[in-house]
Amino acid sequence: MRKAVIILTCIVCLGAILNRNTFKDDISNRSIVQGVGIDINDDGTYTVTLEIINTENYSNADGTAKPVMNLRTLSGKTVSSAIKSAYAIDGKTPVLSQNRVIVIGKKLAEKGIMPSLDFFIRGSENYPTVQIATVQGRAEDFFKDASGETTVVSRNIEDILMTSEEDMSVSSITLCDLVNHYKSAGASFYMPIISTFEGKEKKEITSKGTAVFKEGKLVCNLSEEETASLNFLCNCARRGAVDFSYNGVPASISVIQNSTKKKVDYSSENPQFFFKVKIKADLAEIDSETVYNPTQTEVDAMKECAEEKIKSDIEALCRKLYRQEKADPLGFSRLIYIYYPEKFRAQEKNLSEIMTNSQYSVEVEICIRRLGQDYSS
Amino acid sequence: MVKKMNNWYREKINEITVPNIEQDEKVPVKLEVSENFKYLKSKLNPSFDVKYRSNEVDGVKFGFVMLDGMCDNEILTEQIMIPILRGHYKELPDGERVLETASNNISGSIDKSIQFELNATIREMLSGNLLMFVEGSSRAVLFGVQKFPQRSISEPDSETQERGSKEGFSESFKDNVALIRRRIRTPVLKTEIIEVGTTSKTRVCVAYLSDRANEETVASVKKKIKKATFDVCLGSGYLEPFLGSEIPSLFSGVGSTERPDVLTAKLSEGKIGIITDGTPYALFVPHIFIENFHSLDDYLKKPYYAFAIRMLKIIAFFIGIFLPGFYVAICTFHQEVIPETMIFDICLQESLVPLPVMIEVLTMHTVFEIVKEAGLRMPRSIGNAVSIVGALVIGDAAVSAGIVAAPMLIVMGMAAVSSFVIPSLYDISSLLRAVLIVVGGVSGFFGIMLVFAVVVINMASISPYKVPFTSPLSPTKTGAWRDLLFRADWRKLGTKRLQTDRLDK
Amino acid sequence: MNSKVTVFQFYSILILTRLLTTLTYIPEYTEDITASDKMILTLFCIIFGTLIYIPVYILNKKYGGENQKTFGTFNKIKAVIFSIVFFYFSVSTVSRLDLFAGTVVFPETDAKFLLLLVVIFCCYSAYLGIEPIARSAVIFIAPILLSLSFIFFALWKKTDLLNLTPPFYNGVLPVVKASLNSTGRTVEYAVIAALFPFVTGNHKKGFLVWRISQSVITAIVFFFEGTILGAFSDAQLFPVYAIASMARFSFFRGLGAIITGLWIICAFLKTSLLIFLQAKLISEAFGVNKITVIAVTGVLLALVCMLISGSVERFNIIDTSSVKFVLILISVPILAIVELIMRRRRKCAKQ
Repeated sequence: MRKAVIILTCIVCLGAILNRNTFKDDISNRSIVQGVGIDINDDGTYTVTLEIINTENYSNADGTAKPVMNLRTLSGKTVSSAIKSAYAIDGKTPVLSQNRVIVIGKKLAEKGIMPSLDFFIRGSENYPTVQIATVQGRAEDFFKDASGETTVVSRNIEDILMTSEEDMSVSSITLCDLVNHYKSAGASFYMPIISTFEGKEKKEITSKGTAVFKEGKLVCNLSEEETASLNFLCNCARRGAVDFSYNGVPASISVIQNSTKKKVDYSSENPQFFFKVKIKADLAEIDSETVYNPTQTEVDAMKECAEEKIKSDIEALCRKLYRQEKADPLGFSRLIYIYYPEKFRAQEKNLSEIMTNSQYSVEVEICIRRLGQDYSS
Repeated sequence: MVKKMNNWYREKINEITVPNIEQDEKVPVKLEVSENFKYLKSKLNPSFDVKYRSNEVDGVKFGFVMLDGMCDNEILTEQIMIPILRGHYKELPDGERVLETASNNISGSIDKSIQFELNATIREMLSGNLLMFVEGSSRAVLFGVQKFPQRSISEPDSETQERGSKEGFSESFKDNVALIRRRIRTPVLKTEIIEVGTTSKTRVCVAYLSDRANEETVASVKKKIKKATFDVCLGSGYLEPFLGSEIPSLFSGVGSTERPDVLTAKLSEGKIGIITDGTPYALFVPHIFIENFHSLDDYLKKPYYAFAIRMLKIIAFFIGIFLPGFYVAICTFHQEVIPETMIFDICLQESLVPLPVMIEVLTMHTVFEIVKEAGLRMPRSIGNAVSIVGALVIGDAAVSAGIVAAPMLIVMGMAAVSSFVIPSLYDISSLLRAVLIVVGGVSGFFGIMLVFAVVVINMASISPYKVPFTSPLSPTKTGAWRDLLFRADWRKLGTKRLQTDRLDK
Repeated sequence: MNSKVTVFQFYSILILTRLLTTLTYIPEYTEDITASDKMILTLFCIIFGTLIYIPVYILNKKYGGENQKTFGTFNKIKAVIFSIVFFYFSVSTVSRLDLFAGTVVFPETDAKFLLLLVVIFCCYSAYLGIEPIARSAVIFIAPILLSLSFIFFALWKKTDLLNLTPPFYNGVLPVVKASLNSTGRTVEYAVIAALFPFVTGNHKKGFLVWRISQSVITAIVFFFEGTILGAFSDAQLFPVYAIASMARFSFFRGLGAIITGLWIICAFLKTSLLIFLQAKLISEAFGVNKITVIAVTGVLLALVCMLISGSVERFNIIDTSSVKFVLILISVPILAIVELIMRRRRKCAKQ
């Protein structure tokens, strides 16, 4: 009996080892995808741009080295079929587990992005922490524009978007958060806009503002200042610079720490949202003709100017999003859901109208920590 | 069909082997010296080193038999032959009185024993004793004059300690026991002799402290040793399978050591030591898994340092087993685990190598084992040459030639070095490493964890002498945890000693 | 059964086997309830679990010392019922493992050979007996709980309390229903009923510690799932794997691989335990050789799982909550109550 079991186990082990797929999935036989760009064509098909690590380690005929990354432009009726067709080009199966960023083309953003993201949500190979961004043109052109000999476009994008914690004018969102916002009430989310600009030696990548989506479609863009207000409201940005005007002179505070508390009061007909933004900052710069240390009164006055600036920016943002575009990318309706579930249940279908008529009250409190520049930041 | 295969296999074995049957003939010592010589010659000839001498002293015939090269000629001549040859035996009534008188003439410092049976006398003579027959006596006397070539006591190669003694066991059975006696000078230390090997009749000493060793365990050990059926015993490793667990396992539940101080420590915990003649490795039972990570230096240095070293050993053990398998699994199935900073290098390097990752790592593992074996077996004179070739084969040249990838080389190197941290587990870690490389390449973390779970369950099923191999971790005996990973200070540890048989269940 | 295990060892096995169910839970089982309700349901599970356990406890406390073979036919029926329960749950466990492996680890490969290997190794462990399984559980429990803690520590920063939901948003009934479903998926109650006489120590304390710690762990898992994934969890087949793969700690990323390892160890222990129990019950009740029963069980298990492998439809048939609930209900409290009544009548008749 024991021998029979041992023989059977050996046969099964051999079967497992000699499986036809045993050596197929090696890292050397796979294309490691670092970035994905998705565009939609006029005929409804998708153009997918994959940024893949170039494993060919030899030079060109003229002695220059080959680029670090390869770009593959693929087409298909679905995103999945487009990506799978990469196998036909170099005989390697693409691996998406190292994918850092998904870039959505403008046309696709306007048409609706959720169908194209289904592949990334459904597949377990795709990480929910992948960053998502949009561009003003085609993602394919963006990748071609931004790529270079030693450039890893997706790494650069990811690095820039990760600075959203340090730079309030940059927003970021991951696939998980995007779907979470989309599936919550309001079906609205936001996404950073990225673009290229002419650098010293090559094209550089930057983030310019934020795109707002409603029901998966692009509705409007936010400027960098509006993005900063958005980051305040989302509690996403920890640091950054806030410019304001004091006695006609430009000034700036450097935010060290900030937190925003959100409350909702739905006791009346329309909900009222209260935002309390608490900021700890250093006085970074006063562009006056003379260099001087301001007095306490002047500091208080500057504080008030900065508070007023931030408050008005946030209120302007709320008006733009909720009154004008009737989109709720910040998930405020969720506050109603959590604190007033019965009212939410009763008015779930009319939520965008409710949000349009709601009141937004912003209170900003700045604590100036230091009057000198913060050299450490 | 399996039965038929079994029978066929047994027939093939029987074709080339014979059973180990001990000859139980008992032949009494004869009254005539010449008859005794004749019997001995019939058993021992042709053997040039067996010397037969007969002398007539004072009208009485004496017969001497010895092994040339096994006896101390000086003692033999000065302390045995001369007193015997100078004795007076004419007036003694019979051979028995002559034998007694002759024996009494010999110095009391020489071991003497009386035998009535010729086959027993042969065994004793072959151990280096001088055999004496007296005409008319039905007894033979054996004198302990052994002096055979042996290695002096030196520091053990396999278990070097920083602060411990530099003495190690040698091949001499009596010297080894003496080294233990020197360290435990109490009457509770018992040393019992058992013979093993139907042909070699190797002596095995079972040593234990009677006030702490479990009686059942002692009886069990002795029974198992007596039941050991082999022809020739050339090392303690022959006894291990008989003493260890009956469940087939990578681990045996039998520990071994080359150091008398370590064995003394084990005996003081209630364990039983087995010292085999002709080998410097002593065994001890019951052995638990965690003891592999303990060394004598842990007890001679500060507790916090001992803890750090033990943790290091455990980490090294797991690195030695798992690292290559994990590398293969990550490269084959779990590329998402690779950090962003390393993905480029690993991808580029592996793509240049013609072999799949699993085969590459397995090949390198094999090469390491070859180099290790070569280093162990080769003559010292060509050691340098082999080292250079080994370094070239494994080192930079292999990477430059694109046969292997540099990250893989680092992984294998680390694993190989880590597995040497615990020499007693080297063979197990080497085998498991190879298995996990294959498993990792076939089924990723899934298979590696499955094999790990099976190994742990197998380990947990071993309970040699009713002490579970995985204790005191499981079954949990928190009282023993003061010397598990962290060693308590001697001021606490010294007040109460560990009693091994209390770790059962 | 001569060998005994301690309460600590026994409930360590049960913590790991139940942890498997928690880590491998599919959102479909809790589709009617929201994120906060999932944490509340763990409290209901304590109540329902205790209710199921009480008849078993009373039975063994009152009559535990008596000869187990007193009711020959009843014992045989009991053995058959328990075997069916354990077989069903072992099929479910191995199939879920296959589903996970096929989805996450080997999406493009046929994993049938590996499935066979898993079954063979589980049969081998069952053959070794309950003591090695119990000891292994004690060895594994600390590293497994530490690994989980490490993953949750790495995920702490990603939690967003606004992803939580108002409690009982869809009413209390769905929460109660989900708790009953969850209780029905807890084969551990049947394991306790089968192994109660062979475990030494304070059962009451052991059960309470196990039940409460299990609920705490489940609540923590649901908390992280709710606060990190939010509505995204509904789109994932294995949400716990999804959140683990999001965890990052310095150099380490993709900690979903750790979940893979924990999963396989827990599944291995669970399946080994269930096969062992089947073999023990059938061999004691019918006098059949234990090894034969293990072999037959292994073969049947392998055949059924290979049949189910690769088909989500067939997996859903085998993984029905209501069937599991009925099986647990029958095998644990009902059988215990029937046996209590029978023993009491017998005692009265003797008197």
